[in-house]
This record gives sequence, structure tokens and C-alpha cells, in this order.
Amino acid sequence: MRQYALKRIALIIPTVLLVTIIVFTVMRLLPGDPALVILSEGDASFTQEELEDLRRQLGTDRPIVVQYVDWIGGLVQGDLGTSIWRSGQPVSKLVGDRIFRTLELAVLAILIAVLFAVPLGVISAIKPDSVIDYFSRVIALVGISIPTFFAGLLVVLVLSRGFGWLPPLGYEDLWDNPWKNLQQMFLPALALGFYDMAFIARVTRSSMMEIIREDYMRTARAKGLGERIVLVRHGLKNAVLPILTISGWQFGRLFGGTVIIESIFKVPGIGTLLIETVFQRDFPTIQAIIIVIAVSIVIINLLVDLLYGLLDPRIRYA
Amino acid sequence: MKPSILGRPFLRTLPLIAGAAALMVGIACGGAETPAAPAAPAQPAATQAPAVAQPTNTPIPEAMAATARPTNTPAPTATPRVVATPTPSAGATYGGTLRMSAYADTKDWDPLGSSSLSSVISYSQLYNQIVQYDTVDTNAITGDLAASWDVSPDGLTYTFHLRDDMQWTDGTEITSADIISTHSRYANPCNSTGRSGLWRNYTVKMEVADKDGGNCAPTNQDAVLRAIDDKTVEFNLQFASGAFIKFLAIDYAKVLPGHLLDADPNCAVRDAANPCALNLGENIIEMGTTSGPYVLEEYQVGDFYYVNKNPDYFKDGRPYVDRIEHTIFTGQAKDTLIANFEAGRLDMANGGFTNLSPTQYFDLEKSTNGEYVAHPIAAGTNWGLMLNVKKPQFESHLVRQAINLAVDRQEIDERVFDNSGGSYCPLMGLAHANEVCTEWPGIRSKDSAGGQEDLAEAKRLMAEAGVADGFEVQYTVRQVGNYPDQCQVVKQQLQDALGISGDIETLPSAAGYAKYGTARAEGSSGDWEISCQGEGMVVFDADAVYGGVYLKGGTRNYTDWSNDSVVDWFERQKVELDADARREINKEAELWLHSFEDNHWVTLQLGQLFWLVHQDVKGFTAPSTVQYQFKHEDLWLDR
Amino acid sequence: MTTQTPNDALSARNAAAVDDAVLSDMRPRPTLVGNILRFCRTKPLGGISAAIIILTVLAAIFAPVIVPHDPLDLVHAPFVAPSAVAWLGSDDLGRDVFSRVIAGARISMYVGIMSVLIGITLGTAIGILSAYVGGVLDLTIQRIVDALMAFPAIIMALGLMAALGASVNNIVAALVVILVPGAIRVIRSQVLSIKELDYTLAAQAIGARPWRIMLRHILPNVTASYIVLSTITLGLAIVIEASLSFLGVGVPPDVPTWGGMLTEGASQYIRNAPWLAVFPGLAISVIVFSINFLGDALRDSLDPRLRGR
Repeated sequence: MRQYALKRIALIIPTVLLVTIIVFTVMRLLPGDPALVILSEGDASFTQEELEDLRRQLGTDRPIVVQYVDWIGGLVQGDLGTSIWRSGQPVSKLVGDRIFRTLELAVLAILIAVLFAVPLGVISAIKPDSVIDYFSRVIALVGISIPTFFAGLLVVLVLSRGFGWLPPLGYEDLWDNPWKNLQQMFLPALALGFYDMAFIARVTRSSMMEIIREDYMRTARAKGLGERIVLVRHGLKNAVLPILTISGWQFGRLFGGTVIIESIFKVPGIGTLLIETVFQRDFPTIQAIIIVIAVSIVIINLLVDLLYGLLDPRIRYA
Repeated sequence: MKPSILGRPFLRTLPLIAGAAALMVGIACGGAETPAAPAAPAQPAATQAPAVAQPTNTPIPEAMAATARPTNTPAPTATPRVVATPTPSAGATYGGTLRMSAYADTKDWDPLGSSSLSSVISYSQLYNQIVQYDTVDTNAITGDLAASWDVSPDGLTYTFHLRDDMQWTDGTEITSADIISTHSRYANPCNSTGRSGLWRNYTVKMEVADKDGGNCAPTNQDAVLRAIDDKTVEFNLQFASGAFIKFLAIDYAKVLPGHLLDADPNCAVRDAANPCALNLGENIIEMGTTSGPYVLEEYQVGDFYYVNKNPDYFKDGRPYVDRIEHTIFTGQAKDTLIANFEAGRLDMANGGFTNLSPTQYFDLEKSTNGEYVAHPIAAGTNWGLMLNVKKPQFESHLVRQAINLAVDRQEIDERVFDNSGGSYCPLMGLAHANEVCTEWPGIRSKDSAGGQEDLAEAKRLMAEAGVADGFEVQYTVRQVGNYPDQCQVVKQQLQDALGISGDIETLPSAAGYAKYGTARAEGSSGDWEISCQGEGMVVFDADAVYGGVYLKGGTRNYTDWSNDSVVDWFERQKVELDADARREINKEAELWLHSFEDNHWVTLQLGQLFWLVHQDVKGFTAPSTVQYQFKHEDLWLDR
Repeated sequence: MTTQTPNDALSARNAAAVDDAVLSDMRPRPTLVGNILRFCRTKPLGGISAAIIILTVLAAIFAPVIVPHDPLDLVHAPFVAPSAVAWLGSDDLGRDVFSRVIAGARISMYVGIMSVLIGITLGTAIGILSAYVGGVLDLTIQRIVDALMAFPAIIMALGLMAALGASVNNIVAALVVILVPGAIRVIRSQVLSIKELDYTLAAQAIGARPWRIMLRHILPNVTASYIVLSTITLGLAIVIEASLSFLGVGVPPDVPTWGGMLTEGASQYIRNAPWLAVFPGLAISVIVFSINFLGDALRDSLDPRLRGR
């Protein structure tokens, strides 16, 4: 186990390195020179010389490899660079302010999702092809087939037209004002978690279905244990693993979903910052945001894997 | 059912203010290379009452004719003009939080070189100008930092007398030195004019030691502007002009704390990579040195900025509200914006532009039973189809002429602008009346016999140009407001009429500007071919139309298209003091522009913009263009 | 590789299970019709879903014949509610929504099917190679997969689309990049276990070449996964296409796609012209719904452990 853990942790290094290379390369493919964007924003005319000057100052005139090495050097020292668009503002400050909100949104979403999905999936599995099964499968499939943004917009529509109510605008920190914070975060989290709820429900259903047919379940029943005990002690306990894995994976998806949900519900997280900066070609900030997200996901996946290994002794660590 | 499409005939009515707004303002807006234009010294006259609140049935041409009337521009006169301290409106109540929507994040918090609307809206509440537009009589100019001002008899020297009791929020007194430090930056030729420096086109030109060598120290600063004493400053003009003070009064021409500007070596000359500390909202919060009615409390890039009442504001009894919360709703969040208005989470837009279409404004008025009112801003935008004349497709003027004939302007107005548009004339009604232009080939209804002839003629021209079956072209459009909708309608029209087909590329605003900018470089034809664009008016004046679109270096003339005849007409009309004679010159130019003998801009219409405000918000009168009135100091909540 | 029907896959799987190519020819093959009938009998919802998908594909193919109007033409007044004139109403510029939904099927299905076909096929090929060859190749490929999977799909797509520019084929390209790593991972793990099974070992023992083993013994055994993966990701592809439009990096605004129409309808006009969002939204939901049901049903009947219960 320890060996596996060490190996798994060591593998993170090339992965993260590859992540940075991919991010950096894609960023450089983006059309639109940041220097040009800055100069032409004001509609003022400018000379080729001014443009080249600015490129030099921004460092975008150097060979891409040099830029990469420079950037990665800073990254290792914890320096995420400075924002081009927010002239001179350290990126770490821009991102640091917001990452917690996005994280809160994602955690809340996954909690809501699991809370609804697991019972739905279990019922569906123990009574396959029943009315309840079809109902819960339909619910689950609706979740998968509705794009996140549509779910979000529907929530907004129903609330504003139906109840004349919407979460208060702005943002209140969880620690400062938990009640207002929850008012602001619950609905976006619900809309965000809807997809994941559906997905986790499906996984729960199928893993429960497999487990129900396992020999040990039959044995447990044969021993005369009550159906409920069999299901919870032997069934759900074993179904937890795939559910856990999927939930961990879903976390990555949730980060993506926040990009959409934050802009609909006006949550000032890193998602809104990402959209803003992608459109403004603010390379250092985009890179930083994506790196932060990607590394979080790599780490979460690692934790899930390790936990998986801890919980399931059957796993071979080859 | 067709919600609100036909239901607002009165919106076609342009408020009378439109013309009076900015008559005789002699400047081409925005273009840094545009020569200064001497304007007619206007006589003092009665100001047109803002007609926004009571739309009349005046047809557009008449409203446009209002431009011929003398304006309220303070005339060159030796009599000092004294400004009374504003008295609180009767029945006004204090307190409360105003919640406003913003259409985009601010790019700059420093007005130097700034020409973006979303920026001026954000910094305007924090600082003051020397003079400002009145918030009730929105075309009149009144004091801000200045208590009064005199103009020398020859009209060449403006002397401003500052109020006594003014302090920055850090306790420092506001004096002439602040004005000199701030405005010498705007006057410095090393800095682009932006909109904050538009006034410099009228004053004595500032010279610097060695611009090309990078030495931007002014050598003749005192000749341009100087402090006579702690509370008196003087500006010297090149020629008598009533327009000078109008540009000093727009919200872009803010006075910043001189002691901070002088302390920061990055402030004197704008440098995108090493900006002045005051260009960052975060720094402004930290330094805590502003003068305006509100103090910046919190700013989150891309999401919101909150301001609190400045308790020590020098204007007695202002501001009324304790706090304003500006939340940014970009193009992706249109429904969220509407929903927040419907749910009462917002009180008003923070300016006369949001990403909503006219239809959406009208629907919102209806769905809230008139709780919100969309106040029209008549002199909004010069909408046009921008042709890249450097590209082979548009090299032939015959093709451009054909496009001008084939475009169905009425259909665009109906389908995209809910029939809210104004003049179809190239000079926006400042030359020919709209009634006249609507009879011209290309502009007349396509349903008429003449319109059908225009289509046939357009086809003939295409054939003559050797492209009888049309060609492929790439449309490039910014994802702002309903720009993409316009492009879709135009594309379909040109496809049907002339066989011109192509894809529409949509770009975020900043990226779009960058792409258009690629055509400016000499020897490069740029990365775009045809675009649906608009030129937001700073002032409603023919000079602004020329300067924005038809002169080299114009803000919407990315190919630097130029024609000697146009330059000639422009120069002649800008110095013409007689309004009727000026109009005649412009008519001549307009006819020629519309003939498309040589032109790059297919005028679609003068677009109207809207400022959405809840009825409980009092003290609001819509301005006549979209570019000023963002201090919000006279607004109060009746709740 | 050639495309295989589920039945080929099934028989191939049975054949491989006894690990004798000769034997398989002697076994009676279940007929195609018989299989379909059995599938529809045991999985009625799966059958209905398959029918809906086939209908949609047909509508997409014959769209130019079916549509009453050119989907780009401004034929109606703007915002006409659904009526006899305009069956599903007209949009903000006056285009016929019914024609656009049908034309949209063409583009949305093209985007979905192409990206899945290319993405999952590529993923399967790389997955088999990676698992079977192993060693440094496997290690390298797995690191790349790890790195790619660290990006949330939407964010990856946003970045790629911003880089590539908005066009239908660029969306396909972006989706392929998103779908490949997941497919590699699933297929690889399957192949790893198949590799250890007796019949593969036996084939190796008798000196079969690696290519032959991969094609003849391994490929048929991942076909079930290939089909299930394809159906699941097809839904995903259609949903991502819609989300890209929402983020402003989808297809050009006048090109009718379900995602683009849903975005415009839902984010701009849902209050006063709900039909603009409802019909494309319904189209997306029903097709993704059907795809998923079919995927479920196929998985249940293709997975021998779940079959015949």
C-alpha cells in the first residue's frame, strides 16, 4: 500500500508538468495579441513601434520556450505572475480572493447531489423495472440531458417569475454572514449539482445492481438477515467505492460547471474571472486559474485513489 | 402575437433635446489625429427643456431640425458666471442603497486616455470635474469644483474660481495644484487624447521637450493652463469656442489628487505596462483619496464594485443615498439581468447602455407594470456596415454601391431595433431631414417600386464589377448588445439580393477591437472583411460623425479610408459660423457620401439607447448622449 | 477497423470466449432480426429510444426536403407564437423555428456523431495499444491522459474554441480532444484484464502476432464497451455543444444548432417568447434521453453478467 501511494504521488509530477505545457501551449494559440488588445481598447491610434514596445514590456516578444521557462520558474516559487489586463495586479491575489467561493459552491453541489442521488439509485436497483425504478431513472436522465446552463436559467426563471424572488446580489462570506451566504449559494449549488445528482444516481443504481447479484449477498440473505440489513451492511457498503470514485471525478466536472453557473447566479468565483480573462486574453491570469483548477483536480483524484485503496483491500498494487 | 414590436410608435419620436444637446461642438470625437475644430461662438439662449419625460409626437426630422437652434453653450463673455450651490430637491429623502447594473467591467480607474463607457461609469462617482452638466437641465453646464468662471472678452481665456471648502477624503485640501497636475496629463501630447483630453483640441497645444526621444516634460505648460493662485486656474484657447467647456464638463475630464499623481513616476505619461497606481481600483481603496460623492469600498474584477456615501462631500446635502452597489451583467447574463430587475433586486442601470435590446426594455416595462422606465437617449449610436476597403472583395466601389442599395434599413429597424431607430441619413439627420433621405435610392422602402429598382440596379452593379453571382465574405462582429442580430439580418439581405454569402464570426468586445485594429497598420489589409459596427456619440454634432467614421484615424475608420473631398467639406463646415450655411455644406457632403462614389461605411441608422430606471428612484433626468451623468449625487430613493 | 453491429460483437464475444475461431463458425449464429426483436421485447424503452434516434438521424439527413422554409430566411414577423403559419413559432429575427429545429438536428447530430465516432474510435485504438504494448508507451500515454483529464471538459472546450475559432468542425475537434482521454482510460482497463485471460495467453502461446491478437481477440471483447461509451458520450457531446454556445464560443449565431437556439432562447427570450427555448430544449432532452436509455439497455443486454437474469 505504501509503495503504491508513493508511486502514485510521484506520478503527479509528470502529470502536473504536462498540464502546464498543455495550458501554456493552448494559451499561445489564442488569436489576439494582448498588447494589441490593450492598445486598441481605447480606440486611439498607435504606431507599430508602440506595439512592439508594449510587447517587449509584457515579455510576449520572447521565444515561447523562454516564456514558458520563465513562467514555470515563477510558478515553482509560488509566483503566479501579474495580470496583463488588471495592469500589475498579482494574479495570486485575484485568484486567491475567489477560489474559496468556487470551492464552497462545488462542495455544496456535491453534497446536495449525493444526498439525493444515493437513495434514488438504491431504490432503483433493488426494484428494477418497477415504476419507482423508471421514475428515478427518468429523473436521473433528465438531469443528464439538461445542460447545466439551462437548469440554472430555469431555476432563475421559476424563482423570479413564480415567486418574485431571487438570491440577493453580491457576495457575503460564509464566516461573516452564514445565512445570507447560504441564500446566495444554495440555488446555484442545486442547479450545479443537478447533473451530478443524475450521474451519481445512475452509478449507484448500476453498482448496486451488480452487488445484489453477488454471492455474498445471497449468502447474507441465506443466513436469514433482514433485507434492509443485507442491503445497507453488505450492499451499500460495497457500492460506496464506485460512488466515491465517481463523486471524486465529478468534482472536476463541477469546476467546469461553476464557470457557467457563476455567471448565471452572479457568484464572484474563479469561473466568472476565467470567462472575463479568456475574452481579454489575459494569459497570466487564465493560465493561473486553469493550473489551479487542474492541480486541484489531480490532487482530488489522487486522494480518491488512495482512499479507494485504503477501503478496498482487494485492489492489487501492481 | 408579436410582443412590443409595433406598440411604441412614440418611441420614434426623438426628444427635442437631441439636437440642442451638442450643437456647434466643434470636435471630431475620439480620433487622436483629428484636427481641432473651431466651433461657432454661440449666443446665450434658452435651453431646450429636456423632453424625455414627456415624449411628444414630433416627427424625427423636426427633432433633428432642433440642431439648427442656438444652444445654451456659455458664450464668451466678460461677465463672471456664478454657480449656486445646489439646493436639495424638495421632499428628497436620505438614506438607502441604490442597486445598479453595469454592462461590463471597468478597464481603467484612471481617466487618462480613457474612452470606454464602462470605465467612466465606474470612476465618475469618485471624482469631480471642474465643471459639469446640470442633472436637471441636462444640456446646461454648471460648476463642479469651480464655483464660478469668467471668459475674457476675446473668448480666449477661461478663468475658473474654485470653491473654498473642498477636501480630498484623506484630508488634503483641493486646490488649483490638483487641477494643474491632472489636466496637464490630459494635455500632454505623449498621452493619447481619449475622451478625457478632448478639450485639448481647443486650447493652445502643449509642447514637450522631445516626444520621439521619450522626454515628455512640457515646455510651454503655463501657456496652456496655469494656476493663478490656490483657488484660481486659467486655460488658454487657440480660438474662441463655446465647445471647449463642454468637453471640460464631460465625466471623463476628472480632477485627480495631484499630490498622489506627482508622487508616482508612472502617472505623468500613460504606459500600459507600468500604469499609474490610481488606475487600479484596489489601490484607490487602499489610498483612500478621492473627492466625489461616493467612496470606493470594494471591487471584484468582473463581478461588482460597491461605493459608500462620502460623508464629507463638499456639496451640501449630497449625496442622498448611503451606498450604491454596481453589479456587472455581461452579455451571457441577459436573462439574469432581466430576472433581477423583475425580482426587484436592481433599481436601475448605471448608464444608458446595457446588453438588452429595445424589445427587451419594452417587455421589461410591461412585465413590471411600468415600475421601471426605459428613458430614451436619442442621440445614441451611428449604426453602420463597415467595409474593409483594403480587401479585394470591396476594392471596387461598384460593389460597395451595390451593398448600399441592397441593404433594407427598414427591415433592420423593425427586426432588430423594434422600430426605435432614428435617421437613416449618413450624417444622422444633421444635414438632410430623414424624410428626404427616406426617398433616396437604397434607403426607400424595398416594397416600393423604387426599392425594387434599387435591388435591380444593385445586381447590375455587381455584374458590372464582374461578380454577378456574388462572393464569399467573412463577417466579424463584437458580442455586445444586439450587434450580432444586425449582422445576421444584413447577411441574409445581402445573400438574397446579391448572392454575397459568408460566415459570421463573433468576438468579445476587446478581442473584436483588436481584430479591427489589425487593418490600421500600413501595408496590411487586416484580419477582417466586413463588420456590423456602431459609433457611440459623445456629442450630437456633424463633426463627431465625420471624425468617427469619415476621417483618417477616426474611431470607426479602421482602414484609414480617406477622401480629399470629404476632408474639404469637413474643414469648411467646421469653421462655418452660420448654422444654415453649415447645414448646406453638410447636405452636399451627405449626398456625395450616399452616392458611394467612394465610401466605406454603409449607414444603417441613428440608434436610440435607453437608460432603465425604477420609478422609486428620484432626481433622475436622462442626458442627451450616453457619455455623461454618472456621479449619481442627485439621486434619491422614494421608498 | 470496420464498424460492427452489436450482434457481430455479441457473437464475436461468444466465439472468443471459447477461444477457437474455427468453433465459432460452427455455432449457429443468432439472426440480426431475431436479436433486434429480442432486444425490443426485453428492453421496450431501449427499442423506443432506438426508434427516436433513427428518426432523428433520418430527419437530419433529409432536413433540406422536410423544412417548410429556409432556416436562415426571415420569413415571418419576429416573435410569432406557434400557430398554423409557423408551427413552432418564429424567432427574434423572424426565422421559422420548426425549420431551424430540423436543420439544427442536422448540425447537432453531425457534431455529436462525428466527435463520438472519431473520439471514441481513437480512444479505443490508443487504449488497446497502450494496454497491450505496455511499458514506456503505456506509461507515457497514461500521463498524457492524466494531464488531459485534469481539465474539466467545459474549460478545455472553452480554451480550445477560443483558440480555434467558432465553427462546426472546430467544435468536433474540441470534443474529440475532450472525449479521447476518457475512452482510453476505460478501454485500457478492460484490455488489461482481457490480456490476462486464458484465451489471449493461449493465442500468444501458439505464436499469434500481436496485431492479430489485438484485432482478433481483444478488439471484439471491447466492442460492448465501445458501443456503451459511444452512446453515453454522444449525449455528453450534444450537451457540451449547447454549453459552448452559452459561453459565447459556439457556432456562428445564424447557424441553426440546438445548443445555439436553446442558448439564445433561454438566456434572452424565455420570459416573453418561451417557445424559442422550449423546442430546441425539448429536442436536446429527448435525444440525449433516448441515447442514454439506449445506452443503458445495450449495456444491460451486452454485459453477460447482467444478461439473462
